[in-house]
Order: sequence, then structure tokens, then C-alpha cells
Amino acid sequence: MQYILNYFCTSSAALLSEQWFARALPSRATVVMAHDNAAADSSQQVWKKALWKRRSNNLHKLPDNHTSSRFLEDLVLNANAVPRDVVTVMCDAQVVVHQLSLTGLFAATHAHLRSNLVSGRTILFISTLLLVAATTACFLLDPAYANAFTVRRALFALQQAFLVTAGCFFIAPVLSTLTRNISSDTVHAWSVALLVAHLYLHDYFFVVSATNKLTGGLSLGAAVLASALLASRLDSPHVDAFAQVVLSMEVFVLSPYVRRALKRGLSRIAHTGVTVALVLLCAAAIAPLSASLAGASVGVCAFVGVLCPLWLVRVQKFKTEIQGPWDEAQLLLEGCT
Amino acid sequence: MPSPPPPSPCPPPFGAHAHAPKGTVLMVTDFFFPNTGGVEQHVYHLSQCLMEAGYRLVVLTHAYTPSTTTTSLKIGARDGGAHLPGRSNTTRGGVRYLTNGLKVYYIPKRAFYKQNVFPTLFASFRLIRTILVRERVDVVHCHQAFSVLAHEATLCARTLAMPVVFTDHSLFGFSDTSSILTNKLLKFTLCDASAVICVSHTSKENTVLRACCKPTSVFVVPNAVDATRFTPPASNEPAQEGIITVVVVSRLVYRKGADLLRYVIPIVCARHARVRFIIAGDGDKRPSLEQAVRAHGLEGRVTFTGALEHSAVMKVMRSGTVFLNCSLTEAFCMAIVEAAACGLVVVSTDVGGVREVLPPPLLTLSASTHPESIADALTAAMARVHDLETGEYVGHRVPRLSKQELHEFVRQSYDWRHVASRTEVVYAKACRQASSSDLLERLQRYALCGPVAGPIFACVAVVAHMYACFLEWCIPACSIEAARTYAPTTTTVS
Repeated sequence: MQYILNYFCTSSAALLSEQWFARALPSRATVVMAHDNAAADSSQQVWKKALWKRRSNNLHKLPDNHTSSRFLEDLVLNANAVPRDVVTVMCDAQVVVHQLSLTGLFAATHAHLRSNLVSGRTILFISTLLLVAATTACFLLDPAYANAFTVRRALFALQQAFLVTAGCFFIAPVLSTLTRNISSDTVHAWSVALLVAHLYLHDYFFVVSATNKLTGGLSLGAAVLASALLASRLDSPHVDAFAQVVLSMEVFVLSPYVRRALKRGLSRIAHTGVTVALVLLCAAAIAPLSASLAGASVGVCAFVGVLCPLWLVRVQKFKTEIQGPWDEAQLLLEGCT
Repeated sequence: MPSPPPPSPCPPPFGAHAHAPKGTVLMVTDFFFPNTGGVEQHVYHLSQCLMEAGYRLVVLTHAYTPSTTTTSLKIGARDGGAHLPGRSNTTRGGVRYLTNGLKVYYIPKRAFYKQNVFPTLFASFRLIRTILVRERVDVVHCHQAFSVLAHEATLCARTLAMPVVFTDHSLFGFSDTSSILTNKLLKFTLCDASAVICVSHTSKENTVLRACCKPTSVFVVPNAVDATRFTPPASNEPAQEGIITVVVVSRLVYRKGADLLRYVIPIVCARHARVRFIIAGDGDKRPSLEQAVRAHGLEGRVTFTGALEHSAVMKVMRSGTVFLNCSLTEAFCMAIVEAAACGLVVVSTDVGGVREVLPPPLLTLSASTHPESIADALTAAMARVHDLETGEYVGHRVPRLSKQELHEFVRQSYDWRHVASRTEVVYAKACRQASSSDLLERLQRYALCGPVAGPIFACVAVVAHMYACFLEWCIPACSIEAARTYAPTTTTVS
């Protein structure tokens, strides 16, 4: 008991927040204890796990709570645990930072559109530039795009782009009356909640498409709904709402694929540079609204991109995967028909 | 004016009953007769032998109705056996007396999931307290880690400062969500229990790791068999000459290795022409097993008996010479001990506590859980007692044992009376150095259970304490009359 107590006093003082990962700590303490306990019976080599031996006939008359030195000797810890490397974890975390800063950028654009700091036409112009730049980057960086290129596919992509853009264009006037009867506070609160849901549910490491998993689809739906809600608060010219929706399509629908291409094609340093640029761009976009908010956005990105990976690698030493003879056996059926 | 009645006398000190020289033990579990299984047998036989040793025994379980009785009276019946006809003797409610005056409370709580009552922390508290006081209980003995009633009774008994002994009968994992939650609950219960009993050394290791309790407070007391109900056939001659019969008695479910069995049977039948299988038991894997047998054209060599009455199990076991167990997990495999008591050679997968149960010459373990490896082990075991060419029974060659001697070995190694005397030692220890029942000390123990769970456990204990104080105020223990004890008629226990 003393061991467990000591273990907990030291650990809970130092690592209070890491206790989630330290779930199995006491078991380690008991293992230590069992071995201390066992020093006494090192001479009794005869003991083995045998229930058929009647204790009364036993030479040593060991009590039933006897704990021998062989107690837990078949315990295997962390047989399948893969050690994590801090650089790799940080590189992987950049995907999350990208999504965070792009979402921040999107929200900031909406604020500027509302306050007429930028016009809808400017946003449309930037969006077109971005689309062209992103397509070029994809083809240059990820050979998968170039390999899969056919005229037919390109025409199909253009058709899709046209349909989506036209849809957004014709729906923009409808959007302006969508939330007329709802207060701005409600709409903004909902938008924030939806964007948080988007960030939480987003499939950061998708293989085929970002919406292959149910959560990925929900995440995209939440983001699009948030952008529709926000666009509905832009009442002046319809072009603002149209620009906002087009931008949201680029940020939430297309950007994951572009960023995947960037991650594949760029070196780690160049990729980190892109991430830093994106974080700074986000901060710069937020700065006119509130300097402290801009600082906070950089802080959040630093927390996610640097502190969290360090933390994750640090708590790896508390990982205790327990395996032993008590585990349910796995069916081995190779070669069986 | 009549004078007010005199205040009711306070109950005599615990253990002062004329017919219970050693005190009263309350066994608590969700699993008891008319349900069947390892825990049920353990509780029943242990109770009988403890009564013989001079204890007074009371069992607390929940009421059984035909719809909630899953396994009826049969061995190896499929879980949730709605297919079995509702029988009048599967209904149990109220208070009953079993053999030798074993008193059973079937408390009116509905079984909710797999024979467990609905998990509420305090719904049964008042009832359990009343029974504890009314029966003047000295030791509470709870069984099975996933019995909700056992956990609730532990909380209640500890709140009333009674020693609690907890027996864990099964193995559990660590990684999935349900295991993590169950293990937390077990930690809550065991950190305050006075002593813990496990049925095998592997089970003890598992429990110590799961509940993080002191290894020295965990006792290993195995199960036993009722040797009079599992005897070898009088003569050594098998019923059919030249036929090697392999017996399988288990529920046909994934955990009992039914998926392995469906591959093992064709392999063994292809290797040895004289082998027959008898498969007793039912379960959700039975259709796939039957289909595999049909696909290999083995209908004539494999017999399915379905779920069996307990009394019929011995008959099936006696008809064979080799017993096969394919379980994927076992804390203590009772079936292989029963088979050995019937004089069978036992083959089993090497899982959990199985290898602790029988010494190597009597038990052939497979190298892995691959069907080929089980078939190899089965071949080796058959060669011990049969001439594989002619199928002739030649008796145990290594070691040279007759079926009768095998039975004798099991009878001496696994005797319920011996289990009872070992359990008595645990009771004595639990009563002597019962971990202090002072609320503050209990709270300290709970607080050590974890940074999140600890405070929650402590809150539950405090609420339980306040509830107990409230109950003492509205139903004082003095006002609960003591249950009458009937002098047990001394019927010898088998």
C-alpha cells in the first residue's frame, strides 16, 4: 500500500494533468511490491502454479495468499507499443494547424466583408487566383495528379466547378433572407459551434477522400452550414454572399486535397514554412479586428503544433499495455478451409 | 391506560446463535440456482460444506422468472435460452430453504442483462441492510466481478462495518471500454473488501492487476467437483469395441472455442478412422458447427446431444475416453476436472488457468490455438489410452493409471470440504484484520483509486453512509427482529 501511496503522491503532484495516461500506474507499483515480497521465498524453488496439490500435504504449508517470486512472471508490458518520435508527431500535427488557421481566416474574411473592409469582388478575385495556384501546385507536387490526368477528367472537373459556382451564384440572393427572423447573436453562436464541430470531426488523415468516413462527411456538412449561416448575415450586395460561399467551398472542400499534395511534395522544412506562413496570414487577417484575438490565434496554433506533440511524446512513458496468460486466446485459422 | 411496551431488546452480539457456533455467512451473487453454471455450483457446494463445518448460511440472489432464466436447468444451454420451454421450477421468488436448511432470499429485483439486476447503487440498499441485520450476518461473501448485486451488497455491508470477502471467478481484459469500466468498479469494491479469493493463480494475477489490490490480500482457493456425481464406469471396458469416442461438453459459443471445434473435427476424423465425437451443449455457433459436419459428410461420426440436464452430463462423459476443451479463455475449467473424475483423458487449449488444474500426464495441452495443433494434442492423448490402429482401449499407459485411480486423484485434490476449510481461513482473517470500517479510513482508501475515480468513489461512500444513518433513524436495527434459525437436519453432504 505504501508503494501505491508514494507513487501517487509523487506522480499526482508532478503530473496531475497527465493522469489520464497513467491509468495503469498502480499496477506497476503492485508488480514492484510483489517482487519485494517474493525475496522471502527465493529458497522455495518448488512452488509452481498447481491447484491440484493439497495444501495440507504441501511440504511448506504455504498459506493460500502466498505470493511467490514467480507471481506475474508472465506479465508482458507494451509488447505492441510503438515509440513516437517528436519530429514526426510535430509534422503530422501541422495538418491540424492548417485546418485551424484556415478556419480562422475564413471567419476573419466574413468579419471584413461585413464591415466592408474588403469587397466581395476582391474576395472573388483572390479565390480565383488561389484556385489556379492550388491546381498548379497539385500538379507540380503530387505526381498522382499528373498521372491521373485525362482530358475527360479535366472536363468533368470543370463541369463540376461550373455547377457548384453557378449554384452558389443563384442561391446567394436566397441566402440573404435566410436568417432574417433570427438574431445575429444566435447565428454567430451557431456558426462558432458548427466550426468547432467541423474542426473536431474533420478527417485529418484521410486516404481516399475527406468525406469517406461518416465523421468526415458530418464535418464538411457542419462547415458548409456555418458558411451559409454567415453568408446570410451579409445583407448588402449579393456578390458578398456569393464570394463568401465560394471561398468556403475552396477552404473546406478543396483545400484538404491541396494540403495533402503539399505535404507529399514539399520537404519537411518547406512544409513547416507553409504552415508558419498560414498561421501568420491568419493572424494578420484577424489583427484589424482585435490584436489580442490575433495573438490568441497564434497561441492556439503554437499549442496544437508544438506543445501538444511534445506533451504526447512525454506521456508515452506512462503507456502500460498489459498482456499475460489471462488474455483471451486469438483464433489461429491460417490454412483452414 | 396500558403501559407503553418495553423497548425491544437489542440484538445479541454477532455469532451468538445456538445453531451457528461459528457465525453466519451471507453469500451474495446474481448467479444462483435455478440458473446453472460454475458460480452457481461453487456457491451451492461451498454453502453446504460450510454448514457442515458449523456455519449458518444464507444466500442472497435476485428473483427468477421463466423469462429471465437464461439457461434453465441444462448444461451448455445457449445464452438467453428463449427456446427452452418455461418450466415451473425455473421460477423462484421470496425465501426458500434448500438442502440442509440453506436459506435463500430471492429478492424482487428483475434480471436486466445476462442475469444481472439493473445497476443502481442504492435501490437494493434498504433491502440488503434489512437482511444483513435480520440474519445477524457476521461475514458477507460476494461472488463474481460482474454480478451487480455482489457490488451493491459489498457497498452496503462495508457501510454497516461488516467484513466482506469477494470471490472473483473469471478473467477480464484491460483494453476495451467495457473492461476499463468493469475494472474501475472492481477497484471500488475490492479496495474496501476485507479479503479477495480467486479460483486460480492466473485469475489472481489478473485480479491484482485489474483492481490494483495487494497480492497478499488475495487468496487462491480453487473450485472443486462433487466427486459422487462424476464417477468412472464400473468396468474399464468401453461400450463399443474399436471405437474411440471424444467428448465435448461446453456451450457452443465463440469464447468456448466453437469456431476451433468446427475445424478440429474434420482434421481428426480424416486422420483417424475410428474416432467418434459426442458434442453436448448448445449455443449460437451450433448451426455453423452442424453445417461443417455435414459439409465433410461426418454426420454418422459426430453426435449432437444439445443442452443436457446436469445429471445426463456424467452419462455422456462416461461413454467416452477422451475429453476435449477448446476454450479461448478460462479462469478454472470445471468441465475438465469433471471429465477427469469420470476417468477421461483430457485435452485442452493452453489458456488462462487451465494448466494449473491438472498435472501434465492427465492433461494434454495444445501448443497453440490452431486447429492442427489441437488435433496433434488430441492424437497424442488418444495414443495414451487407445491403440490407434484398432481403436482398442488399452488403459492409461503413461502414467499407468486406471480410471478408478484417476477418479480417486481428482476426488482427493478437488474436495468441496477442503475448499470450505480453506475459505474458513479467509473468513477468519477477514474478521480478524478486517480493514478498518471507519469512514475516514475508507475514504482514504477510495481516494487512492485514482485522481478522477477516487473522489467519485468517496462521494458514493459518503452518500451510502448518510443513507445508512437515515435508515438507522427510520428503521433502527433494534426494531428488526432476528430471523429464526431452524436446527439443520444432519443429512450428510456428498
